[in-house]
Amino acid sequence: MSNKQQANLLEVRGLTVDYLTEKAKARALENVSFKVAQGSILGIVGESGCGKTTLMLALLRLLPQAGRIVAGEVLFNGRDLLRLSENDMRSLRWQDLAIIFQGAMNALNPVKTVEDQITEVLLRQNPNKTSAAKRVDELLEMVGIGRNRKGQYPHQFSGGMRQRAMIAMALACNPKLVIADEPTTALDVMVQAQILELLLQLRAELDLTILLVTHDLGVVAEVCDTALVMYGGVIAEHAPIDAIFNAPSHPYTQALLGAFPDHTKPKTQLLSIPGYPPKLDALPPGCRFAPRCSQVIDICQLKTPSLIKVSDGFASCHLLETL
Amino acid sequence: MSLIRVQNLHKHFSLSSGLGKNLVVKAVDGVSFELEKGEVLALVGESGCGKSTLALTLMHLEEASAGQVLFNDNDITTLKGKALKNLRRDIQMVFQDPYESLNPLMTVGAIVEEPLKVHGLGKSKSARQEMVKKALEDAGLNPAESYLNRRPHELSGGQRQRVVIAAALVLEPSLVIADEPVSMLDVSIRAEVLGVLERLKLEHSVAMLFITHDLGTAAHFADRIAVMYLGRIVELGETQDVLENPQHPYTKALLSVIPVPNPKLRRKHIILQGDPPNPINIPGGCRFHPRCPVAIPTCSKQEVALKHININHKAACLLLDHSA
Repeated sequence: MSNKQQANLLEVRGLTVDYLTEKAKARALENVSFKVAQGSILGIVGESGCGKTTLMLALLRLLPQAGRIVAGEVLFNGRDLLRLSENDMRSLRWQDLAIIFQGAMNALNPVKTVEDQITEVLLRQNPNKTSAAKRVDELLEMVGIGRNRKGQYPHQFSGGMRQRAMIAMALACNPKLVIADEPTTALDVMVQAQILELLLQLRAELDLTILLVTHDLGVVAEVCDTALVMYGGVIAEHAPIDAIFNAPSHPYTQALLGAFPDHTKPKTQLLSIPGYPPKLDALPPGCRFAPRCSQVIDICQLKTPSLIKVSDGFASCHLLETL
Repeated sequence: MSLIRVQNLHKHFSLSSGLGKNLVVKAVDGVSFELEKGEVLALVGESGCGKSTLALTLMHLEEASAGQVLFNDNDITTLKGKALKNLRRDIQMVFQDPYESLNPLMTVGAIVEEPLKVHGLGKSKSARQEMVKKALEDAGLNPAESYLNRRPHELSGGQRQRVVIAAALVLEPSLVIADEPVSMLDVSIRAEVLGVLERLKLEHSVAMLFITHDLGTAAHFADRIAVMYLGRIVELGETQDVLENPQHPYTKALLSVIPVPNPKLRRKHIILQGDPPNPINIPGGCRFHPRCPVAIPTCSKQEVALKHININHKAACLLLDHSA
């Protein structure tokens, strides 16, 4: 284990997910493949409906009833999670993989104290109440919640405190991988900064690997090591963030950056991306971004591009193939 | 002459605690600013700083507790009845959530026509239809005919927000108050809606009070920025001035934590701990002093007013005297 830094904690291969509706099936993810190095933070970005949340739920095998994983492998420390029995998977959740849900306002139980909610998670793994109580104190201290507040209910907490409580709960059983779904979206910038700082600090202390799902490119630039840009259920680009922000390969990544406000460059014109993301039950033929792409060529409307290696990462675009 | 001049505006709410003790929420607590014709002023601050209450008070949807609002030099703080209705034709509002602010049962055509009916504008149905179509087109919904008979659920978030804008525009207001108009929208669509608002300003000289928690968006869109903290404006200046040369410690902290889409620019963050204090319990002296990273003992004792740094740039901080 000498090269632990380079080891991949998570490797996803060809993950494909369908949602079955009454009339048809919608392909929410197609052939998604990527690796995440131990101890790194991967940002998963894209517009609403691009498949970010589906991807995250599929990794945890928590898809809603209509969702089906139709192909692929999810290798966690080399073990394929998709082949585990439901029981084995259940014991992996919390212990190895934990999730911080979007909207801390709704994800906590309003009629239980914060202490009880965290204890509940701990007792599932180890029924010793004394050690659980000790661990709750430890966890709350780790996320910066005063011990005197543990007996309070979620409504007595501010938005930022609730998010801290969610993080404490996710960390309860010392997971290796934490998936954070829009952990700062409903928060004010200052509270967002507090939470992001906390995640970075916890990553350093606990050697966590984090998947950070967000629609905010700024957040990705601030905290992530690599980023996965998704569009219409496929990976548009996957690269270290330096490449994503300073030399983006995929026209969609370029367009997203052009639309994102940057207060350090107030005079640049924000450019919108014309049109809307595709509906998953009516995907365009060929490249899914082609109808909105400013650099579209003939082949884009005919053939789906595959994810190819570009200088620093991977991208799926015909323009890069012809180079 | 300023289009709108707000002077020492207050909006206090009283809360009865049920124990005979009356608490007062000082949501807006002495705000003054001016807005010129065709100018965009961004009002920036965290949740609970009073920015939305300020907007509602300007619109007369809340009655001011004290202070004055002059619109075209007329005091509008005490308007009632017909005069108030006429005023509301001139000042229109765009709300944050286009999923909540449109009646799901009405067609787009009827939604945009309704303000005209309320104000008795347009001689005939067909005259109103023409005005509706023009407003939809000005809001970037082309061709307008294809939208008239659609209902909100058939539209995307960006399209809905443009319908909201069209319904405000159709009355040809001179001031639009936009409360977080793009914060519910995806980035790719945000730029488009901001573009529509920008055209209003350039082509129709509509002035705008743009309320947002996002300094990044304000940076791209506003002529001037006002930073609000606990019911007061703590810094006000031209956009570039405020961004490049922030004076108030709160503005400096806010600017330092806005995520910048450039990993090479990872800066030192000035992270304020805790949450903004409750507007029921406003700290004495400078209201920012308990969270201020550079506060000195005097800050907790002495109230502080906005002072000019240059002709267009003001900030309220005691330390400005010390450094000057």
